[in-house]
Amino acid sequence: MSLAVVGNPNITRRDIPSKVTGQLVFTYDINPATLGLANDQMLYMGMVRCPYPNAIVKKIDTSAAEAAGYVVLTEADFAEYNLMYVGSGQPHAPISNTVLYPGQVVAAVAAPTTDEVEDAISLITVEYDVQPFVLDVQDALAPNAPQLFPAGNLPPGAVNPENGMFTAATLRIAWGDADSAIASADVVVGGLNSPIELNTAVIQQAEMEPWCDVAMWSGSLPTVPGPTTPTSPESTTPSAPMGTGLTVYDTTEAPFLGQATLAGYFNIPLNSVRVIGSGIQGVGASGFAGMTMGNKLGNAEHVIITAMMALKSGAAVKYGPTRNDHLAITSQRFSERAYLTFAATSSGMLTAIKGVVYENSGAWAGANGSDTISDILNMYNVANMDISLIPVNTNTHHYSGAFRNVGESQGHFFLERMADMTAQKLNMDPAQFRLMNLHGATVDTQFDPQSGYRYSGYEGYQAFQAAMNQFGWSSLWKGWGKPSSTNGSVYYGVGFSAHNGQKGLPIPGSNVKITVLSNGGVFINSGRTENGAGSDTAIPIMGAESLGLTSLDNFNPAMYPGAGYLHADTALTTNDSIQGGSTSTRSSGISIVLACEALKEQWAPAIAAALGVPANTTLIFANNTIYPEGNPSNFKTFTEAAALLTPANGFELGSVTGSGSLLFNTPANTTYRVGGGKFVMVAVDVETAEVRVISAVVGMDIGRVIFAKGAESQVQGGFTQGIGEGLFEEFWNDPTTGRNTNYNFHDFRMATQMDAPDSITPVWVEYVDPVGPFGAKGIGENCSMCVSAAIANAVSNALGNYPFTTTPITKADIVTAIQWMKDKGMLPAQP
Amino acid sequence: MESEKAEGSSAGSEQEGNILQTKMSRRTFLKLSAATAAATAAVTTVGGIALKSRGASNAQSTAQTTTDLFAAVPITLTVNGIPYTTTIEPRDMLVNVLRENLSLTGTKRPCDRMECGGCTVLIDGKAVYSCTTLAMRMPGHSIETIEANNITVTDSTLAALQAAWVTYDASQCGYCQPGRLMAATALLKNNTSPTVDQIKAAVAGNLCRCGTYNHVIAAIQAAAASL
Ligand code: FES
Ligand code: FES
Repeated sequence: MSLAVVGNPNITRRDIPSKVTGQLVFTYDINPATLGLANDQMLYMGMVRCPYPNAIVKKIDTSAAEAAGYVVLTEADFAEYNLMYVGSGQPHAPISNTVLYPGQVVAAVAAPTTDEVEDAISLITVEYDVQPFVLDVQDALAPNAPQLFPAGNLPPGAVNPENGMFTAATLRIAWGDADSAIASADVVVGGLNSPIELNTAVIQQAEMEPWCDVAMWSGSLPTVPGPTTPTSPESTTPSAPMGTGLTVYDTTEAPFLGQATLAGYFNIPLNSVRVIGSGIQGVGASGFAGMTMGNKLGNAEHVIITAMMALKSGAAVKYGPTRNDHLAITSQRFSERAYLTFAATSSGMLTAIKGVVYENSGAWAGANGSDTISDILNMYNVANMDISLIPVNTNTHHYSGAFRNVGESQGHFFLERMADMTAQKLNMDPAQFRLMNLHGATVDTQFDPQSGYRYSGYEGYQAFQAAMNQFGWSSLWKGWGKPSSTNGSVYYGVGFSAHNGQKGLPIPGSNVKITVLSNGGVFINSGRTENGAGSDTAIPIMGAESLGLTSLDNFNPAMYPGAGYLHADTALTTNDSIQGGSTSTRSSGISIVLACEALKEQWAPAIAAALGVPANTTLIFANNTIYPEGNPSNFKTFTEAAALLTPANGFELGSVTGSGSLLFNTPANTTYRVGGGKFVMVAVDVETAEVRVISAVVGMDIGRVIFAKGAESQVQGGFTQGIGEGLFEEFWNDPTTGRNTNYNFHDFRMATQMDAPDSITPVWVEYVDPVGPFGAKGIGENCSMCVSAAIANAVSNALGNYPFTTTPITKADIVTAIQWMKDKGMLPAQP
Repeated sequence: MESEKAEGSSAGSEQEGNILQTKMSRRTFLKLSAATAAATAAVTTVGGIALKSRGASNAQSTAQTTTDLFAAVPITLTVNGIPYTTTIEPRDMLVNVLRENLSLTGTKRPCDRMECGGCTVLIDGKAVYSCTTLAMRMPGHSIETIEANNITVTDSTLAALQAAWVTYDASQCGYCQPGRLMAATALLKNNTSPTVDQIKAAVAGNLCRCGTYNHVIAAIQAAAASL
């Protein structure tokens, strides 16, 4: 297949001009003027938050705030409404007097200016019954531990028939006989009574745009404008009347889920709620919302609270959270603690994995960690497996939930530290150990060992090898106990993590429409949000390729009036599922290819007539032309063919539209995994304990590169984010007060420009995935997956194989490791 | 059961870095600062507002203590060469005046506490965090924002950087980028051939969660070469 725009390295991101000129209005940027409202038609909301990790609101005095003219919401305002939940967890009111994590909202207040919001907050007085709290997963399971819920600290799963209570969503998967295999193994890391304990940290989303909402109810307010002024004929009629019911601008990755949540909460018809999840006034009619991580899934407390405040006040209400607020309202990457044992033969064959993983679900979530378990099941060929998951509610944070590679970076950290320690005990090159044991190396092993479902395309093994070779592993790795090289006090270490992640499945219910206008412009309608992941470019690329176009010019409204891409507005767009889980390319991609086929079918007879060939002639769309198969010299240009889209030719709207829907998870009994490896070199200064990631090579089983610059940026950005996870990021509760101590960018340290490696080199392994559009898979989340594991292995290599078992590896850990080396005589003593 | 009383979200005020806003609202803080300034320092006038200056005797300052620092006041700011007159509260930070009063929302406010650089603008050519710059200090100064080239190209350095950002795909979600572009503009105005280390230092105060830091370096190098 020769491709013109798919994978073309010169295609630039369509929405980037609007972002680098400040023209794109993000949700957080909305002012009354943006929506055509007068200043006094919008109020600004702030939250009163409880500092304690576990408390009951005894008394709340809002009289001073109300006397000053501010509008206040407390739990009582929600009494007549439904309960809600986050992350499949326990039902609760959006504002609840039962506080289960530090920072939980106990009141909301709205003021006429942003200046006055903090004044209004300071007028509300709250009296708390402070309760004992629990922060640690195992402490929470101890007898006499403080109980978050009447049924205990295990989040909801199935109902226990014996007592009618929810049981925990615990999970145990076993095959073979792990205990016997461990007992009789040549080499064991851990042991039946002495497993290795490994820990990961709670991590904040920390996106730069806080999750913002602007809500208004119809009645006193004028009809609000849409995200763009759609000029494409097929999209001028909203599916629901605008300006009736509730309209919410939301920094969301799931506008239709948000719509359903709000309609359900307020008990109003679905089409009375309009959720707009895209930028407004963007260049190129493109929208935007959110960040490249999936936490904004629509069913959060503050979205409902904002809508309730709009209902109570009769005004439009903007909740533009402060940074502190933002960190308290989102989901977090959960910490996990694993106890693991690996067993192997003396020749290096892995024979058993046994262990248990405790997941910190935070206060309000249900279980999330099955992705961790899935990775443990899929990474290696193991004849004997026994692995359990125990999710536990604690008072550390709001809730564990969606996050870039949720559960999987934890799983990879556990697996890949254990694999390195096992290879070390075998005194075997760790890369050879992986090559010997990786699952999915050959077609007959490419299946999920639990379900038996086959992987769709998979060349993870080849991607691991390709990265290994590109990195130069065989010459850089000098053996166990030896750093790759030294330069004075700087010790260079090399390490890697193999990778087998499960993101990028095609999501049923992705619907896309594409329209060709008579001027040659092309217009896409897809309810997907663009959060920076690049679908605003990738989906048009696949549409252009399907229509035989050689650039994205036809989507540019400056060149073709009416052209563009309408995103994420439940009143105007298709429901194109959610932006998350690396699913966009595959899901919307399949749908747009189907939509283009449907469009061509309607358009073809008119083109055939103009070409003087029978109506049923097969037409080829290529090179900006359309011609009968086998006769490229008899052609119409795309523009000439578009000019045929007239009422006279039966195209009443002066355009032609095709719809495509991915209806089911096709084909059956298939699972979707992306594999490869990340190889890194680090420099550790044994005098200052500074760690720097010098370079990285990322091997990725991508299937097909669609948006080349975007895919490269995903690798750069994902890897860089992983550096933060590996070395710095840790959401921290003071053990004595339980309060969170780092709800800000200063104390919650993430990777900065200074931490960027000298190079991050992607190595794409391309082939045609049988399910993906043009053979593509989805890689976004896989880019940060396993970076922390690779860094840990490289730092360990630099520091005499110090057995790191926690992430992040903080400076304090490095100091400990350096002292350990000194104690063992591996470093010259301090002069 | 221990019982504690907290005012608003204020109970954590004793603890640095707690989630809660401190007991003091910005208004209270400025009231106190103004009183302190009046008591300990001379007052100079910048743009019509009384401001603290260092090293003067108490005697000189007493005459100024009656100034009402909290009444809304008109102000004229020169942004991207255009004079804007608006009414603000004296406590307002420049970022809020740009975003809310002037609807110049290209300047972002990711943290509002001097940690991320997302609010960076140029003031007399220097990169400054506008979230911690009082708007009242700005009359008489030239402010440049990311919107500088949106009507006509007035800053060719910024224009070169904007073009390079597109070519090198230096942005993903884009929310942090206006601030970083302004920081990079300040760099290239002073140094048209910066080293990688100089580039990193110049944009080190601009956090990006999307993390395309290496594309930023490549884009700044390319823009520098094109100037
Ligand atoms: S908003 Fe000013 S530094 Fe973050
Ligand atoms: S581009 Fe998204 S935060 Fe920087």
